[in-house]
Amino acid sequence: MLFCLLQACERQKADNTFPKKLVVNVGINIADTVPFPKRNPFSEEGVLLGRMLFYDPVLSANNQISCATCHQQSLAFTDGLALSDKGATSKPLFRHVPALINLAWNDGLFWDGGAKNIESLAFAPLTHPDEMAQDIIELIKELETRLDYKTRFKKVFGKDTIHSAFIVRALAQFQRTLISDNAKYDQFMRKENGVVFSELELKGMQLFEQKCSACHSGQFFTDFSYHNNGLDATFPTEPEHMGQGRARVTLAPDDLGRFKTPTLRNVMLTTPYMHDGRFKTIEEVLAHYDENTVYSETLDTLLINEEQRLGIPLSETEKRAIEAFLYTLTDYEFISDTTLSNPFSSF
Amino acid sequence: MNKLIKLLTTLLIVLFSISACDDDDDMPNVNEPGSLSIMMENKFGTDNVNLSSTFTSSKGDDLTFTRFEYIISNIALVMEDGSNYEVPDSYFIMGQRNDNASNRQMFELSNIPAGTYTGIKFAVGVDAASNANTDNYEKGELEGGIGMDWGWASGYKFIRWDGSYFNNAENTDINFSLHIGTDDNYKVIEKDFTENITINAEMTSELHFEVRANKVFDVIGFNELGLNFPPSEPVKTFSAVMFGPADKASTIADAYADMFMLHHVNNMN
Repeated sequence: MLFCLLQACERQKADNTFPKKLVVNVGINIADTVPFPKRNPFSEEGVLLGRMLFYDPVLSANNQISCATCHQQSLAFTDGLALSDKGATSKPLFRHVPALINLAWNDGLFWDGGAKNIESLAFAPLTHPDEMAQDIIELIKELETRLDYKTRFKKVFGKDTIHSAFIVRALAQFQRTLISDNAKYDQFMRKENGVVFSELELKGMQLFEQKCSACHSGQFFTDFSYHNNGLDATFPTEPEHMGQGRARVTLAPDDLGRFKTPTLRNVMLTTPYMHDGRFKTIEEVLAHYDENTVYSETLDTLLINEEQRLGIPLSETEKRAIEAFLYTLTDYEFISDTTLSNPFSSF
Repeated sequence: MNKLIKLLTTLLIVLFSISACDDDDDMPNVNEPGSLSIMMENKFGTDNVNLSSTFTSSKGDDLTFTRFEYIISNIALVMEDGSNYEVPDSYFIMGQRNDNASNRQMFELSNIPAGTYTGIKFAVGVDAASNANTDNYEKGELEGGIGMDWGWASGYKFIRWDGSYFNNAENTDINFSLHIGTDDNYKVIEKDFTENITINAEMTSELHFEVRANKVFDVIGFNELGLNFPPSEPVKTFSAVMFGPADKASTIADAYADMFMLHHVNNMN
């Protein structure tokens, strides 16, 4: 009876068609399920809408910049630049474009973890004058005039009008599907397709576990935490406290110079390295840990050994082995998967 | 027989419920929910806040606003027995965004249970749960990406007051921005009504607050604090923002918690 009454009062809702629930899969060596916030569950239509928005330059003020301008699939969703200048003003940004890999498991985003979730994050690149420079109210108006988008938003979120929340939720749904779980490493771990590691790769994996996995831990190759890895002795306030790392967000002196541990999945595709892209090659990165680690008060204790030697000692042979192992983290399926690529080229 | 009674009762309930959906033909009465208008008149001393006037603070600063906005949320009305009626999803962005935008000083709460109320509680800012993400649309007027939230560090700006002040040392106007947020600066305000008010479908009820912005400038003197603030910033601007000196942000938050004055209450048939 209650059901009848509800129907009578809300007759216009009767013709609602709901989006199709979507279960996103992930390799069993990584996780059982793909997490999502209760307010933004996956749907087939939601992920596709997010994918369209991700690749559509309509999202930027000048209609020339899309998310994919700086997050290119072929480079594991990075842009290959130390500091990107692909934004609206062509001014180089203050931090290196992060790779978009297995984001669903992250609880803090950006190099300092300032963005608390993928949904909220999107407003930053969308509105920053040196990035997409968009006025969200204008963007909503523009999307409202496009019947195809309007229809899709209604299907996914069930409302007649587009809200800014819907734009970033759709984008987040798509971004949570950017899952890299099929590198040679993964197939080796899952004992698939008879994949074997060479001797050098095996040695590299062993060394990696000893020397790198304290921070680049587990199947995500990150502890999702923040560390001062000895890049600098001081952390200037300019520009915009960017060099201060996590302390920019927390204001805690202990967080000075601590930056988020990036995943090392697809690391050979995501040059250059560090929060400011200062290292062009993986050799430079390994050399940094071996011999160029710099002391500061917040330097991670993992990088100070008992004899007060800084960094991680690595012989040249060890470095070659670790590199060989890092190559096994390249996921060629991830960078060619057509369900993650520009949907407009196939329409 | 029993079955017949059940059936008849059901029919009656259905008929009654259907007519309840229809609000045209029901006479309002004292047991039916009513509404409450809340006026928040933005003042600087005795003047109204607008985006064209210059105001002088008790610290001697001459200042002009280019944006004067703040978030009011989580309104609860205190009933005679001391319990609260919490107004669902009550989040409002008040004030004025730019010259072309209208100056929001009033909102109406509807569907308030009929009864006698003795006071009101509301907050400046956004509660921690809703401040953890900015992709809101379910929550009143909270909307992300329209200048009342931060992108680089998720959360809302509880107040956003931008403008300029005359710097005596430099003999010129210097911009200021007071963007205060973070959970610590969420302030709950409680006001008792001088006389109880009655809310129901037959009553017109209005609360009239004066929002005395000058209170904030009683504790923050721009000329007094100096040109470059925070001191490490080389740009000539005063910014007491979320990531600015935390003690200044909390000083400002304490001041805005104290700026609401319940001027009068209208409550009549």
